[in-house]
Amino acid sequence: MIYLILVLSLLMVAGSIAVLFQRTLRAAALITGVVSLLAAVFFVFMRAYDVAITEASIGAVLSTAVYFFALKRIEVHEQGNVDED
Amino acid sequence: MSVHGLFLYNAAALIVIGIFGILTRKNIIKILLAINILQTGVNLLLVAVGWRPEGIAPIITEQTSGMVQFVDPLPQAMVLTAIVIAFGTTALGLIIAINYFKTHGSLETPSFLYGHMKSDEDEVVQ
Amino acid sequence: MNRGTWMKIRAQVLPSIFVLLILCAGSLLVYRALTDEGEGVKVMGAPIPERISSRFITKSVNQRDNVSVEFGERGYEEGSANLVTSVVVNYRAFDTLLEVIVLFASAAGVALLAAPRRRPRYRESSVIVRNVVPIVNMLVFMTGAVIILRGHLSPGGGFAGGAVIASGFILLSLAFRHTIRGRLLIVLESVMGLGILGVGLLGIYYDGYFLSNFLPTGRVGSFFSSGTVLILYLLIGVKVLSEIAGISLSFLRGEEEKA
Repeated sequence: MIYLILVLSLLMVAGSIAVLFQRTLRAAALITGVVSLLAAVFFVFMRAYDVAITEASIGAVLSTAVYFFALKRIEVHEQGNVDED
Repeated sequence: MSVHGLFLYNAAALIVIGIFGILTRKNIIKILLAINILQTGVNLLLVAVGWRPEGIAPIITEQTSGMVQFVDPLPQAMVLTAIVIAFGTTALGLIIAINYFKTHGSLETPSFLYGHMKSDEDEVVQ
Repeated sequence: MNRGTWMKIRAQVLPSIFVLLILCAGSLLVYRALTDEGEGVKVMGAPIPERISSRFITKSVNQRDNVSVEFGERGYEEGSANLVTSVVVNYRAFDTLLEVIVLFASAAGVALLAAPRRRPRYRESSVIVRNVVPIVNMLVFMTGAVIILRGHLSPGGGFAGGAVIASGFILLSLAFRHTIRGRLLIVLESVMGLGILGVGLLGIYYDGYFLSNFLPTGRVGSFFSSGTVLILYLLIGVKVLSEIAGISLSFLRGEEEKA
């Protein structure tokens, strides 16, 4: 049991270090979503089931989605409001 | 190292990495992501303080009624609020970042250390 | 090593190393403070029976003679089976109201600052998305409604259920063109907020303090137990869902389409 928690926590720390040194912003937002999902698993280990559902649905899904929406708007503005036909 | 200590060290590592990211990154989206990691670490720390090794989930059912050893429900209530507020501040920060990009043309925050120098790690959006 | 690379190192690597050293020193100080074995007030010293949470667990804040809370009994001061819900909506309901106000402020800020976006010409979503999303959304909305309604019996509550239903609305908005008006979300959010304030003021009328639990508490574990907790969590759930959906639709659209 403690080895599972050790492996997951090493994954979480490695993921959060990798976020800061990414080249692509979409990859960084995605890895942050994975770190939030691992935090939801940790909340299940700590017997906090309400917090796990809330973190999994808000932190892992909606926060990552909002990052992607914002990056899409930045990209559209960067390319000069391209009107696609 | 006990399981409780592992939970606490994990949360503390996330907090330290989050503060490091806020202080050293130039791209504003990276700074927002580091704030997000910091908030995740703080939530983990709060719930880990209220955990005990033989505790069970704080819900009263037929099997768990009576004076059994529950995990502390008060930090969980506080963290429930904190997760939703983290989402709200992330959304507001991203809207401000979009407006910053519209007025300045790039996502880099200016700094007197390397304001005049083109950096090696240029983050691209795609 | 010429001057160019030395300047590059000085400007990019040295600040990171400096910050890392300061953070290591700071975390060492915090660690020494938390694990100090001397006399005085400890940070994590109190075991759970000595914290205030034991009053919340045994539901003995006002009635002082509860030893343990049994499933199926009646007559406690607050009758929800989920102890986290009883803390969030009953004992610390004022904090939850203020948190909902913070979420409202961020939704209002996003709606104000999201400039209108010149959409590219509308590209219709694919056949799979158009046909699968309504079927999947039935499941999503039912799951979200169950999570909101059973907040006092099992894990979940208004926040998680509201987020699930809001992601259902995001799916709809990504699949089809005209889904929901922004004005409807704003009206829904305001009406739910007024409802929460109304329940709080009714608490003043019946018991003398804001947000008191004035409805009768039933058996612990049945659906119609726990007084105003069910009503408040329903109002909070719909308000959170309209706020999150409003934030996401502001990102996607930027301005209400005149449709």
